[in-house]
Amino acid sequence: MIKKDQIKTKKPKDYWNKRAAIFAIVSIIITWIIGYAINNEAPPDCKMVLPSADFCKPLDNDSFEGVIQNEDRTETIVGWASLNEAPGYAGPVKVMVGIDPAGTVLGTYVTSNSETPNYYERIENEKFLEEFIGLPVISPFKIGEEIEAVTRATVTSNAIAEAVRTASYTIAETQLGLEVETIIEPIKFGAPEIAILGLYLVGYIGHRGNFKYKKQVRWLSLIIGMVYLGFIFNIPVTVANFTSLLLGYFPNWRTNLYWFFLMGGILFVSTVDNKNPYCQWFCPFGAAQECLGAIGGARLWSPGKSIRRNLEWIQRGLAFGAIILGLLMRNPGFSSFEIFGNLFSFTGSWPQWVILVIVLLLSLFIKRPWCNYLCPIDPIMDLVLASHRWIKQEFRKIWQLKNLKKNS
Amino acid sequence: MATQKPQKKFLDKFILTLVIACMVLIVTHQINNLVDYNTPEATATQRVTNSNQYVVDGEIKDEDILEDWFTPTPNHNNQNPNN
Amino acid sequence: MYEKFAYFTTPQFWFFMGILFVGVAVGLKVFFEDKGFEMNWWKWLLTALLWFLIFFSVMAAFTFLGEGETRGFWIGLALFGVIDIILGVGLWRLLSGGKKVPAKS
Repeated sequence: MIKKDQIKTKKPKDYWNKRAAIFAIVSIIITWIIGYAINNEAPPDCKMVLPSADFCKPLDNDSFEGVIQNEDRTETIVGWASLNEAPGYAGPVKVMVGIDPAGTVLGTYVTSNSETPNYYERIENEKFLEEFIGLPVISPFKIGEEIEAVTRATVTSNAIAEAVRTASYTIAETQLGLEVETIIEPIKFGAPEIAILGLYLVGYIGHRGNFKYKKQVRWLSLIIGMVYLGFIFNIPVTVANFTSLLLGYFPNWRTNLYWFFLMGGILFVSTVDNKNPYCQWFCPFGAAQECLGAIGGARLWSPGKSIRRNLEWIQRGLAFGAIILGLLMRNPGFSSFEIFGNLFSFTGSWPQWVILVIVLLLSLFIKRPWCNYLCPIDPIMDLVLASHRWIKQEFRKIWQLKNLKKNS
Repeated sequence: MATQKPQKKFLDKFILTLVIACMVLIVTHQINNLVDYNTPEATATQRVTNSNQYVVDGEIKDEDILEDWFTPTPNHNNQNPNN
Repeated sequence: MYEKFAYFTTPQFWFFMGILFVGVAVGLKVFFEDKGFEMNWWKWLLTALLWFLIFFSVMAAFTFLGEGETRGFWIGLALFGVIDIILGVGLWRLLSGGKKVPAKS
């Protein structure tokens, strides 16, 4: 006869999920603190933008004076450098600008940025930084006028231009005694903002259980998401958005309302409705996979319970790793490994290209392979939804206990 | 029915291999990023002067993705006598 | 390097290519008959278009290779290859009338 304690009872799935969630949250907090501590940068050398200077004298307002030591021990000022930052898509972009005594921009240098590396490469390849050289210090540095933005890196281009403007105006006012115009960016409420709000509305109406045309509305929402959020604007949700949120890197609300609608909307709907509106209703890459699935007659693939569970843990591990790396480097774009940029704006590293080809071909035969086995957003949303559910359960228990005590 | 079982098993293994390959490639991508992050960047003097030769001419404003991909690489020796 | 590929510009090569084209066309006809596909003029037209697309994709990719553009070769192969496979699978489903042999485990 088998004794009860000899029977191995498997722990319920929720047991490991809860412990993994607690471990993840605690690790994120600890990594955030470590990242903050190790990323205190030394001030950059002003010779990066004032190459003829012998040394740099620090001034107020994160500025430096570049001087040459003459033979008679006097000093000649060759220019000034100023450091400033502006919010890019995934975090602040810090720029150092060099100005000569005649009030012309001598050089620009990005000292740090958090943009996705492949997008930042476009800035470097297009020699965007050199467009500022030779412009007067009081120039408005407006994208579309004196400066051309880099295609498909417009948010980063705008951030650099804003940082250059602020840094130059600092030198203009403090060192050259010039009057500068304060430029206030107009609030941008355009097609991306309208598209995302429209998609949330469609999703809200369409996902009601008894809605007659749920299937058709869902396809419409997916196609609009794929075309607008994907191919036209290339602004899907990535793990960099969540890492930015954790780091407190919010983009400029005047020019990036879309980001606030997107992230705010997802978190709001998840907490209120306990559902993930984005993945199934308007994720552009999910939509692309479903379109290919419709062409190829894709079906759900399940490799067996235990393999499925292992793959799920690896998927969670990859997402967790991406967030931890981003927090350690204080650089959200750094660890974002999604292949959306490859499909929608032909930007990405060679491993991502190989993954894209595999995923696109697999999507013909199996349903949403990226979403089900590789996407980092899925585990993040699972964590958000599950944590919300558990916290609600705990509060309910406490409330019930309180009521019991009251009644007894 | 018996002949379909090994076929399905093979397909399952094939798809599983591809999925695991993608996971390995994701890790490769992250390692590449880490390695590039620690490599010293080009100095600002290279940016302020015009010393670097780029494949795509920096004056092209309307970016043409396909032209960028299929533009002849540097040191290209055009072997075709018709060109 | 160009001299190595001079054969591909000779009339004999194109003669063999002609045989290949006709062979493929006849082979496809027999293959579709065996599979029980009901073909009509526009299905044949789509099949021919796909065949030419595949042919030109391979030609383009290997022309890049022949010109010494290995990067263009790999990108061309990946880009055109994926498009060709997607369209090929779509065409197959169209020709087979959407019927799929259910996978029995």
